[in-house]
Amino acid sequence: MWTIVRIELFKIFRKPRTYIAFGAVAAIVWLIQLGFYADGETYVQFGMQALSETFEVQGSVLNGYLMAYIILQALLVHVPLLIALVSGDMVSGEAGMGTLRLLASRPVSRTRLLLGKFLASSVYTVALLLWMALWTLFFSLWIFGVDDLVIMKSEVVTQILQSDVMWRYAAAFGFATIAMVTVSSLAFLLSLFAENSIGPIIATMSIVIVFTILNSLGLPLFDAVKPWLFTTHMLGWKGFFDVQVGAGNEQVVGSVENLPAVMRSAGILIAHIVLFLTLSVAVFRRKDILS
Amino acid sequence: MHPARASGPLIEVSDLSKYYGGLRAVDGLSLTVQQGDVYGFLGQNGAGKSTTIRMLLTLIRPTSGSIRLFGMDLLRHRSEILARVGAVIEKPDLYGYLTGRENLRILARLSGCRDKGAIERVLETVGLSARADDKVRTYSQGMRQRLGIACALVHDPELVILDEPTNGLDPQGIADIRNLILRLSREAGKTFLVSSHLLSEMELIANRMVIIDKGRKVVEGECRTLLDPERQVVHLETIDDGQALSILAASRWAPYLEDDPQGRIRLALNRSEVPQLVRALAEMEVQVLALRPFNRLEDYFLSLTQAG
Repeated sequence: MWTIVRIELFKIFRKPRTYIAFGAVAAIVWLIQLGFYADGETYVQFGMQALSETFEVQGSVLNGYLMAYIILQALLVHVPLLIALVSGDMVSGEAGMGTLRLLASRPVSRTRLLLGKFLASSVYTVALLLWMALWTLFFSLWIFGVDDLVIMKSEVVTQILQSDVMWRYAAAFGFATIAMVTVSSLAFLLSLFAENSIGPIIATMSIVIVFTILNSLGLPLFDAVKPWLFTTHMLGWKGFFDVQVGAGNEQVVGSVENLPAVMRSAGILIAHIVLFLTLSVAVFRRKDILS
Repeated sequence: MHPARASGPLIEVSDLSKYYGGLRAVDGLSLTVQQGDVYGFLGQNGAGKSTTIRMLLTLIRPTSGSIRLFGMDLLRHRSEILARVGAVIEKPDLYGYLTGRENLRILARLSGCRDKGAIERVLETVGLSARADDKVRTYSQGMRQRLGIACALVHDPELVILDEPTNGLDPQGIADIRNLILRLSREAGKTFLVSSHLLSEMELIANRMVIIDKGRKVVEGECRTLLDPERQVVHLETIDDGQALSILAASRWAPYLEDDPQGRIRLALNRSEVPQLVRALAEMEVQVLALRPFNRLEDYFLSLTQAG
C-alpha cells in the first residue's frame, strides 16, 4: 500500500496544477495580511467602537491570533475548490490520459489501488492545510505579534488568553482537515464517473454550494435534512473558539463551550468520508475500464 | 523459429462473451495460446479484439465464459497472473509530464519489480537510453510505442500482450517493432499475443493466429496451414442452406466444414479436392446456386473486412 501511496504522491507533486492551490493560498493570505497591515487598526477600531465606550481595551487586539482567525474564516469556505482540483482528477484524470488501464492491469488489487490514491489525495489535503496554517498562523504571528485573542460576534465578545490559544488552532486545523477530506472523498467518488477532471470538480463544487444554500435557507422543509448535510458541519472548527464561562463570569482555561456538538460534527463528517470511500471502492471494483 | 513448447497452454479462453446491453462485443470466443507462440489476433476494427484483450487483463468483466492463464483461473488468481503478464493496450498512453525513466520506475514498482538494473536493460532493449530522461510529451509516436513496450517488459513477464502495436507508425517504426517481437520471442523465449487488423503484418511474425469477426472466431490455427497456398476455402450457396448443411454434416465432407460468423456454409479443403466436392454435391442432390472460392486466407480476411 505504501508503494502505491508514494507513487501517487510522486505523480501529484510532479503535476503543475497541484501548485495552483498552494500558490493561491499563499497569495490570498499575503494580500489579506498586507491589507490589515496597512488599514487594520481602523478596521479593528470600527469593530470595537461599541465595546470601547464601556470597556478599556489594553494591548494589541489586532494581533497574529486574530489575523489567523479572520483569514481562516474567509478562506476555509473556498478551500474545497482547491481540494477538488486534485481529488477530482485522481481517477478521471488517469482515465482521460489513458493511464488508468495501465495501472489497473498491474498486479495490484483495485481496492488497494483506489485506497492508495485516496490516501495520497488526503496527504495532499493535509499538506495544503499545513501550508495554510504556516501562512495564516505563523506568518501572522510574526508580522502582527502575540496577544490575547478577542473575537467579536454579533452579541458576544470572547477573549481567550494567549496561553490558551495555540492548542485551539491545532484542534481547529485538525477539524478543518476532517472537513476538507470529506470534500476530497466526495470529489474522489465523483471522479470515478468521468473521463476528465472538469466534471468531478464542477459537480463537487455544485454539491457544496447547493448544500450550503440549503443550510442558509430558513425554510422548515429543509430542517430535517440539514443536520445530516456535511456542509452543516464543515465550519465546526469555530467551536474550539467558544469558551466555557465559570460562575464568576471568568473563562475556563482549556475549555470548549460545547465539545459534544463539535465532536458530533466531526463524527458526521467522518461518517461521510467512510460512506464516500466505501461507495468509491464498490464502484471501482465493478467498473469496466473502457478508457 | 520458436522455442520448444512446455506442456499446457498459456492462455485458454473458453466460450467468452461480453455484451453491452444488446450489443455483443465478444460472442462465445474460444482460443488457445501455447508457450513460446507469437500468436496473431486478427480482426477488422470493431471485431472485438480490444475487448477480448481488456478481459484478459481484467479491465473488463466478461458477461460469461472463462479465462485461464498459466493454468490458473484469471479472476481467482488475478495478481499472481498479472505479475507474469506485460501489456500495451491500444495507444501506449503514459504520463506525459514525467520522463521515460520515471514512467518505467512507476510501472516497475507497481509490478513488484525491485531490480534496479531492469529499467536500464529494458531501455537498452527498445533503444531509448539516450532519451530516457526527457519528458514523454516530447516523444514521437514511435518512441512512445517503444516506451510502452518497455513498460510492458520491465518486470520480465512471460507473456506479452500487444494491442495493435504498429498503429500510427511509419514503415521503419513498424519494422523495428516487428524485429523486437521476433528477437524477444527467439532469444528470451517470451510468448506474445499480438492483435492487428493487418494479415500481412501477422504473416511476418506469427506462428499461430486466430481471426475474429463480430466477436466470434472465424478460424484459428498454425499460420503455415492457414496461409498454405494449396488450402482452399469455399463458400457454398444453395436453394436450402439448412438442408445442404445437414447433408454435408452427415457425409465424408463433415471434417471440412468450418463455422462461419455470417452463417454461410464454409468448407476448408485442398485445392485438388474441389472437383470431388462438386461431384459429391451433385450426387447428394444438393441444389447449388454458387460455389465461391477464396484462394488464400488473405482473400477471405479481405472479404470480411470489406463486408464490415
